[in-house]
Amino acid sequence: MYLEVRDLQKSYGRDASYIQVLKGITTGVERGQMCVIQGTSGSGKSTLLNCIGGLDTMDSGSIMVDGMEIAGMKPAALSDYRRDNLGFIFQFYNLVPNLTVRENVRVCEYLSKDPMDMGELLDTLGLIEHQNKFPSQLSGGQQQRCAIARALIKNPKLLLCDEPTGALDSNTSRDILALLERINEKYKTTMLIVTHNNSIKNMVHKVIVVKDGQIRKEYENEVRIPAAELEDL
Amino acid sequence: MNKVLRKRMTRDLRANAMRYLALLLLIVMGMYVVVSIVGASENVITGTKVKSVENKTEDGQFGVFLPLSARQEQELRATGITLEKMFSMDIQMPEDSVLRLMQNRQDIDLIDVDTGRQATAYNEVVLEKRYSEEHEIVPGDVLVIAGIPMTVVGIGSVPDYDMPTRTYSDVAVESSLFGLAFVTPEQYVQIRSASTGLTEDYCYAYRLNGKLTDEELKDKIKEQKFNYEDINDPYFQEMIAEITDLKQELRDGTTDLNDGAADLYDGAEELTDGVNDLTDGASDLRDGAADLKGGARDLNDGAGNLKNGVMEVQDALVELDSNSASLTDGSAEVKDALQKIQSGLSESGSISAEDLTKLSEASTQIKDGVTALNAGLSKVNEAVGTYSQALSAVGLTDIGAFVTKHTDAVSQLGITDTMRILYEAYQKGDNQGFSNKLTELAQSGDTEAGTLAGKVQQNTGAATEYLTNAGKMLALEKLIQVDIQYIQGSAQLISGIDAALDPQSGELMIGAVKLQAGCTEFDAKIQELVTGLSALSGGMNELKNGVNTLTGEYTKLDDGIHEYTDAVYEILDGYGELVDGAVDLYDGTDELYSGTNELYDGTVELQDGAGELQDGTRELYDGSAELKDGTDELKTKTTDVIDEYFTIDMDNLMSFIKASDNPRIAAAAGDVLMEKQLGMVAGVIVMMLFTYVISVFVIHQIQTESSVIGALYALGVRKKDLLLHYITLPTLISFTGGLIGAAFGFSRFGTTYQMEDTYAYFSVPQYDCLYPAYLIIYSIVMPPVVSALVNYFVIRKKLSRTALSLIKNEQNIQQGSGLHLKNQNFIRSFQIRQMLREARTGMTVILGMIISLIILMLGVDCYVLCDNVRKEMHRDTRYEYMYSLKYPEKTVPEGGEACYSEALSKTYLDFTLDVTILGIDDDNPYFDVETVKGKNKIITSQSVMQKYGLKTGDKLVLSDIASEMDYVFTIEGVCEYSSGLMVFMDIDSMRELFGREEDYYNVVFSDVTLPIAEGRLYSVTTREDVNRSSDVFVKMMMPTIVMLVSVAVIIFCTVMYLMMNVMVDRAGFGISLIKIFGFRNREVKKLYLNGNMYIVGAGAVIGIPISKRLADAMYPWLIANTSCGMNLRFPWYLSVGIFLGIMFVYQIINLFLVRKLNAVSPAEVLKNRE
Repeated sequence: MYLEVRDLQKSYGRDASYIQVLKGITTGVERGQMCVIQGTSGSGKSTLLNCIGGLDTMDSGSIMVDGMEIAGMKPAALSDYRRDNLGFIFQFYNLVPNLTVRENVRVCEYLSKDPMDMGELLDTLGLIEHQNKFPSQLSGGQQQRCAIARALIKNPKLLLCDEPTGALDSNTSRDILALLERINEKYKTTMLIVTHNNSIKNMVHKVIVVKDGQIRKEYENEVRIPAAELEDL
Repeated sequence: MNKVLRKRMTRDLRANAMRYLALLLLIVMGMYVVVSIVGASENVITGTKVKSVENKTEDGQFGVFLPLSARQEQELRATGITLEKMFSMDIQMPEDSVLRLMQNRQDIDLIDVDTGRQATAYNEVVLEKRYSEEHEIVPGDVLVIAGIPMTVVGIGSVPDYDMPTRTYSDVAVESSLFGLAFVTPEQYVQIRSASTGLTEDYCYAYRLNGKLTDEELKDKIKEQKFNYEDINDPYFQEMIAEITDLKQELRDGTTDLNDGAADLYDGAEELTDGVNDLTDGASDLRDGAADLKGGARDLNDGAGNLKNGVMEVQDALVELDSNSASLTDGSAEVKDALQKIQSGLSESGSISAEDLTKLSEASTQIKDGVTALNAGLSKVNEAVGTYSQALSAVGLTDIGAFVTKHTDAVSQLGITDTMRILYEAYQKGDNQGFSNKLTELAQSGDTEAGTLAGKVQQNTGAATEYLTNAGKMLALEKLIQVDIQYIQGSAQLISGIDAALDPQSGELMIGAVKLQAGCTEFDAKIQELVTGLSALSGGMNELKNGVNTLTGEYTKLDDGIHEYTDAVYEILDGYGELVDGAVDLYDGTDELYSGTNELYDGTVELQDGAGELQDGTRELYDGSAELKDGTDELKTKTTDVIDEYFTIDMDNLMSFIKASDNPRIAAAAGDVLMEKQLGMVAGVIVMMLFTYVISVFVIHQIQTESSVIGALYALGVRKKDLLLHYITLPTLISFTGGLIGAAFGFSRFGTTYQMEDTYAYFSVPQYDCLYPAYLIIYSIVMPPVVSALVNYFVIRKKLSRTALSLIKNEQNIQQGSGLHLKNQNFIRSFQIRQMLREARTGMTVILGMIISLIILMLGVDCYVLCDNVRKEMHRDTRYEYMYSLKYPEKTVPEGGEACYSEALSKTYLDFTLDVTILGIDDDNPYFDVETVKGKNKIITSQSVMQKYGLKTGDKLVLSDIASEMDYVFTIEGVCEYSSGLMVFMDIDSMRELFGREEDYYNVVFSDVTLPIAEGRLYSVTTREDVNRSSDVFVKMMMPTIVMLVSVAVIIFCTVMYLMMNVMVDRAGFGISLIKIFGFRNREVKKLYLNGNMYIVGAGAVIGIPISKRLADAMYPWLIANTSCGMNLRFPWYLSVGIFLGIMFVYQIINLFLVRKLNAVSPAEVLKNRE
């Protein structure tokens, strides 16, 4: 198991405002799998992703990534963990506005000892002609492609995607998902995609459904529908 | 809605407590500086005015030679003014200090007693406070003053010694050496009566009470009766005596001048006559010289002919002599032949044919020789005739006439005995001999010598001209006399030759004729003899007898021949001398001719010169007539002037000084004026700074809350509500900051602290702490108002965007988007992008840095200025003693260097300051200045150049306020001198400019103590005094310097921290994001903070020189009332030090920022989006 989560618990606030967001999540993802974490708003899916990404701390439980326990890691170690293993894709792209497409990608290229080829990646993502543009000069889809390029440039083992199509129209969403699919096939990157979109679950290897801080359903698709054929995105 | 927003405001305040606290600190510090500096200055300025009223500060004071009589005092008081005696005596105290003893004041300049009370009884004294502080004297202590033990009953100050200096001209206060003491009037009189060695200074203070002007009072004092002879001061009397002597000298001088002019007129008149005669004489001389020239030419021609004739005679005589030799030889041969014949006859009784032939030939030779001799004599006679004709041709037939003519020519030369004597004296003793002899002759009444002496006095070239002419004429005379003698000698010689060769009576000629006749007869007999001898073969006895007879006869003939040839030889010999004489004569006449030519030319020049001389003499005559008239007038006027100005009808007034011109009065108020202005300027700068900082905050906040504002707009909230919301908090902060700053400034840590330096230097009473309305408005009202106004305009612009634009938080195209950084490494390009993104904030950092640097530089400049003044005064004061003299001695004391000093005024930026002109000699060892001759040429000290922004070639206008005269000087150069405001002049030019005597001086510099009597002195300044007073400036200004520098550092740190903080806040999202990607804190710091180091570094490099220039530009206004230069230069390493200080401060602030950076959570990005 590449990613293994055991009895993960996470809460916020105290006394009257206390709320337990994750209530003993236990699950796992194999290397090279595309996995969707699905749930309604407030179900705890993003919190789970943040805990796996080392962006948020956990109250208890364990998260093992490629045999490495991240629970209890100091911030500096977490930085190194993220640096060496993870790639992030956000719903709102989160590009650095004063950097060009190429420079945004270089932010993460800098972190890797063995980065992917920038030209090839930009070509693959259709960004060659936009590489010197600033984010404000790009469409939403182009910005998300840039965010994907930035996440992939350091060749991460685990790609965490938080609503990657949440801010995109259906056609663009399809394109982006098809892109992720190709990348998974090409680079065998393990992907964890948080979404509330019901269609996306059909294109991945594994689906985890979270509700009220607990896993309600967890299964692997026997038949995957290619992203290009997905409907209702 | 407003209520809800207000709640949000308090939350915002809590959320950004540090930021607002720093902003508050910035405003507090700024207002603290303003209030403390300006407030302290205001306390002193206003306090001085208030105390001036309370203590009845004088309107002015005047010093007199003799105390006013009761009636005179009453006269002045009758005008309505208040008058009070301020008599004083300087009493020597221990530790070389001096106490100026005065009596209690009644109506003017009252003593403000800080502690204790006024002296009311004998042996009680009140001391001036600064002297007491320096000597740690407190009420109850006993001091021995003028030999009397006195109890100190009070410590206080008086308004007329606000700056307690011993003299008006002292540059700085030295209270350890000088102070005041006040006793009762009775005690004062007692001490004065008992102490004979003390000099009393008679000074009166007055208050005009609106009844008179200062000038009117001054005139009234001058009008009061005064007899200078009543003044006991010996030096004053010496000065009067000098003036009297000078007056008499001037009178005598004028009379002499007038007499001289009259003599000159008479002399010119005589000279004119003499010159007229001279002109006529020169004309005659020219005519005579022309005649002489013609005669000499004729004479020369005749002498040439004569020479030729003589040469011909000589040739004839040579030939005659040669013939005589032949004759002698022939005669000898005849004699020899006869003797041989005679001998032959005796021995053999026969005659050889050969002998007979020889005899015949010899006899013929003799005959021929005698004939030739006669012919030669005829030729000589003929040549002498030719010579005589030649002499006749040149008019030398009558030698007597010749001699007479030449003697007349000599007399026409006009050679006088005087000329001979003078020329002889000149030859013996050159010019001096000539001059002495001329004087001697002139004095003995010799008219020619007298006239010449007059000419020589007028024109020294006249002597040379006279001697040249005399030399020529005397040489000519000598030559003519030689000619005369020669002509007379040659005439005698010719006459002798004539006599000798006369056919009738000339012995030589008669002898020659006889000789020829004898020879002819002899030859005939010889021939007969030879014939007979040839025919006769026998009869030898007869023959022998005949031969014997013949031989005897012939011996007689031979003797005659010898006499004859000797005579010819003698003639020839004598004639050789004649020939030489003729040649010399010719040469002589040739020279004579040349000489007469030169003489003629000379007489022509002489005539021209005499003509010019005549013209000149005429002018001289006219001029001397005018001069005579002028000197008559001058004498009259000079007498009037002397009577007017040298009448020792002087008044009693020794000095008169208005309070406004008195440097001792209100000096503290004048001193703090600069600080007040400094504080006001600093306040404006601080206000500009914090309003800008606030505006940056507000802009940042609006950008951060853009979507919220857009949403509120969309929901219907009005722009003015939002405007009010965003303005309110900064305005409140500004108000609070101003309030706290003002409170702090008005506290004992503010104004009181600032006033300490005033109390430590000036002798002033304790001033009340004031709260001037303008300062309250400036410190409490102005910050919020300015903040509100600036923010209003800034926020209004930001809120002018549409609701949708705000909701989307649309960013403008990034600054520097055209900049491609392909080839840069990632870190570098990221830093550049970050710097471009934060350019506005970066500019604020730089602006804040420059503003705080300006405040820092104002403080640093203040220190540098005071320190430079100190160093320069130490450097430029090379003398040990400077004596300022009231009554200078005629002779400068040995070891002293005399100078002449005058103080003029210059008004600049509404302040009138004294500029001292110092007249010095070129070799003055105390000033390294090369002055330039000329009444308007000055060399200016660096301090004056700096103070008034002058350069070489500029004009400097200085004013004498007393005489209401302006002097315009041209700056010829600059010298390295910065002690006070000083310009230098050549002392002689300066004396001339100010109408002083040519040896006048009033300042003496020296390296040793000079024996100058106390009564002659105004003051003595030692090098130690100057150095000590120069050290005071740094000490005095130190609180202000410390405050400015401290405040600048605090402001700088605060602004930098605030701005850096804003930068980090603005970059929070990006920091969070890259942390998500796995960037380590060290790398985040490198990306986001290290770039700022370049901004701060570049800002410092730009800001240091800019702020220095701005501060330097403000200083002329800040120190307009200070008599010093403006050397604000500081060494390069101070700039480097400031730069390093800035970088150090940045590093300190960076430490705080790194902590803030580290605290940024990666999860931040999940909450917000850029």
